[in-house]
Amino acid sequence: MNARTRPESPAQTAAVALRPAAQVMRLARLGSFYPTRISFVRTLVRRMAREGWTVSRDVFDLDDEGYGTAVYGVSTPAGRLSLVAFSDYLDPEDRTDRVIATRWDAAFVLTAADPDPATLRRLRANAPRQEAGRYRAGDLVLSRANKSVRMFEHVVDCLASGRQPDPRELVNVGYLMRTTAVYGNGKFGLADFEQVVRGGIFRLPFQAEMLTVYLARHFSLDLVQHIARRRSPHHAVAFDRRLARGLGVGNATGLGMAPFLATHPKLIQQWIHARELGLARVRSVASAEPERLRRLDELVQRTLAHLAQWQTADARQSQRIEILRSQLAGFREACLGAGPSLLPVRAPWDFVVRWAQEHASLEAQELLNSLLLELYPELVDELENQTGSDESEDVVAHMPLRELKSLLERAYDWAVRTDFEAPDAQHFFWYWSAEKLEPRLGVRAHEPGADREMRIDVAREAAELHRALADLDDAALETSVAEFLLAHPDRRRIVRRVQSLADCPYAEIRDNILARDCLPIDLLRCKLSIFGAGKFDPKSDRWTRITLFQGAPLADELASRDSDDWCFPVVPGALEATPP
Amino acid sequence: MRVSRNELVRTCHKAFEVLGLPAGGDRDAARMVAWLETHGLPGMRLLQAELPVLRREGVRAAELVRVRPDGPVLDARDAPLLTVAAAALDLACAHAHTSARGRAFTVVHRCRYPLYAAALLVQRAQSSGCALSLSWSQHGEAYHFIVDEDGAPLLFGGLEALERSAGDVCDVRFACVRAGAAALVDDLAARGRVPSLDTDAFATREAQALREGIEVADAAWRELLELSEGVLVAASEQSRLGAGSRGNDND
Repeated sequence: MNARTRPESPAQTAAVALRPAAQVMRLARLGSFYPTRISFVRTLVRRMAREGWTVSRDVFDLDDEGYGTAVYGVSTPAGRLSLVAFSDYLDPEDRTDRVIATRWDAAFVLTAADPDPATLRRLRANAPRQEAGRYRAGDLVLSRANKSVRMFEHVVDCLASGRQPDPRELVNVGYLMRTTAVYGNGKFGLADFEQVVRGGIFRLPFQAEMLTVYLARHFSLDLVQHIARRRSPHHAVAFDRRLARGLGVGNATGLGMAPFLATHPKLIQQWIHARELGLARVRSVASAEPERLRRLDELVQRTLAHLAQWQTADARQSQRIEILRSQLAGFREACLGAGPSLLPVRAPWDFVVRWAQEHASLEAQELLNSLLLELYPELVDELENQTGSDESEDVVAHMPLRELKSLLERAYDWAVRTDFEAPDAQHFFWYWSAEKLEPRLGVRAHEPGADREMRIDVAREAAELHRALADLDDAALETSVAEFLLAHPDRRRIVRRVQSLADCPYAEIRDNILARDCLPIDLLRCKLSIFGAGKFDPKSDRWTRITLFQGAPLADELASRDSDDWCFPVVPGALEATPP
Repeated sequence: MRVSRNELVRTCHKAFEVLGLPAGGDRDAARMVAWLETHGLPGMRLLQAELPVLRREGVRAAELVRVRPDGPVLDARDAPLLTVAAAALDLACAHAHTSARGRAFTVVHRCRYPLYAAALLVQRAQSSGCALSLSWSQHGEAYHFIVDEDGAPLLFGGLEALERSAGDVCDVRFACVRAGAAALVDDLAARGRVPSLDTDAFATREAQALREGIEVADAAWRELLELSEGVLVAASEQSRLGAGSRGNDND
């Protein structure tokens, strides 16, 4: 069957409702999310392939050690962009993933400016300094990356010696370079997101950032081959593209990213809603053709191999992966194996979701959801266009306070119910770190700075607002929000938020992010999975390493038939990662 | 130096938080400054002039003086409209909603820098579908900022005098009209007024600011940055054990 043929329209089947926000928007579940086919890395690559984007290496002025300048041109139907890369010597003492670092192995700028000598001089003077530099509105994204020294040297050494790297070694790291920051949306003078959109190439958030990371991967693969050739001009071999494709770009992400989910509720609503709508459409499919079953079995087998290659030293995540492997294998046996299948003929995918809810961990449930979405591009892919939103919020001034109170009790019941007087309910506070200029998390009882707490505690503010409204008499509850805010101007933020998000069930994380049992890593994983990150490798409950674009087609493979079939990738020739 | 709009909003937001603007009011104020700058109007210069007053006297909320049949009257007590505009606009909109004529006014006595409210009017028009206007006189010149139901702005009044007199104390009138903006504009047209900045001119200015960045005075930007750093918390032994501080990065 043609994969683009629509099998059953959701309207023709018994429509399954979207999962309720009370189930989806809990931190533990969000912290179990996996990438889907509408994650940003997938939608970007699909668009590049669909629109025939091409990548050219326009400048590659690197010395024998790989230090110098490279420029990659990206041609799209809507215009041309350039990634300018600067590769510099970095003393091992200076190589740190922390945001306080001041030097890196490589710096990148994605720019709409003509990469003429003047532009390259300007960027050379600024990009290696990253946050200390200044950029122009024609520059879209700023990033930097450090080498994975062990992997980088291993690959260079092997290629220079005329052989391919050991796939098991590749699996153990998964990338040659890892970014430690990717900046956009006006930071340091870069283009505002609205200007990025006006440029005509990007319509959705983070696509320019993801393109930068994709091209950084391209650069890292070119770089190892360049150094190998310079090191051994007569013996060096090219990197086997199947192995090269198995490498992505690493990323180290910490608390700086976490408050984003609280400060961009409408974007979160769009992202999660698109995902949930896709899942509901798939669950609503009345029956599955044999090829869909075969496709799912193929994906499950690939995912089991992927899980075997997923290495982390984190005990919690390791245990979760082990359980996941066992449960996924159990699912395959029960539903896709040679024996009698549990899968019903009628609404099989809805059955899978329900079965997983009863028998599997949150990780297994969410992984199966990602696989189900993979089965129906024709039902899911157009939802990528729904993943953008502005964050406009405004007060509905005439709303009677009685209505506001009802709204709180309906949409913020999870917050209103929270007892913030409980000993551990306000254990943490979020703040802006002077040292790192990024959000950080402090323990209220032990660390200074709670007096400068960031205003992202939505649950506590909502609960306080409800308490204030609950104290009002009937007559006062008939007055308007406008009158209330004149007397209580400090409630403007939460009132505006509650009113503006009334129709956005997936906008709020339905947990107390100040509580002692809050795991910030869950916030990170939610956002990173939406970006399309895989191979989560937590280094604590506050930061993690991940891999982006592992398995993605190389730039000259975008037109290939399998350019969209790279979820849960497997490095060929390496069955399992070696133990850490 | 040139800054982006988002950079300006974020820095102003933190600075206003440090100055003690209430939660929510800080973001409104930041957007008011950035909106003016994005449209080629002097948001930062006005702010630079106002900062010493805000630092010295803190943030003053408006007081309700009385409620007339067509809307309330507030006293801003010489505060910039930056800090009282949201409350005034809320009241005008709430009264218009219950008014049989579908329109209401909020008068604010003794305020300064009226045009700061422009950003709020644009946003409120877009979210509420009401037409809104802001009117005031300074040094004998009458100004009107009108926004239609879609948020398209028009400014009447001499631009050259606007900045010069902006800090002078004046009375302003917010109008909220549920029926439409045409009447507001027709009324001015009948008196021979033509806009000094029409909607296309605003859009052109915004496009230019996004394309080229926003030019701000170095000293003003430095002052704003320093002020915004008041939200930062110094590192402690405990905090240094936080995100990203462990592990070998030379792997």
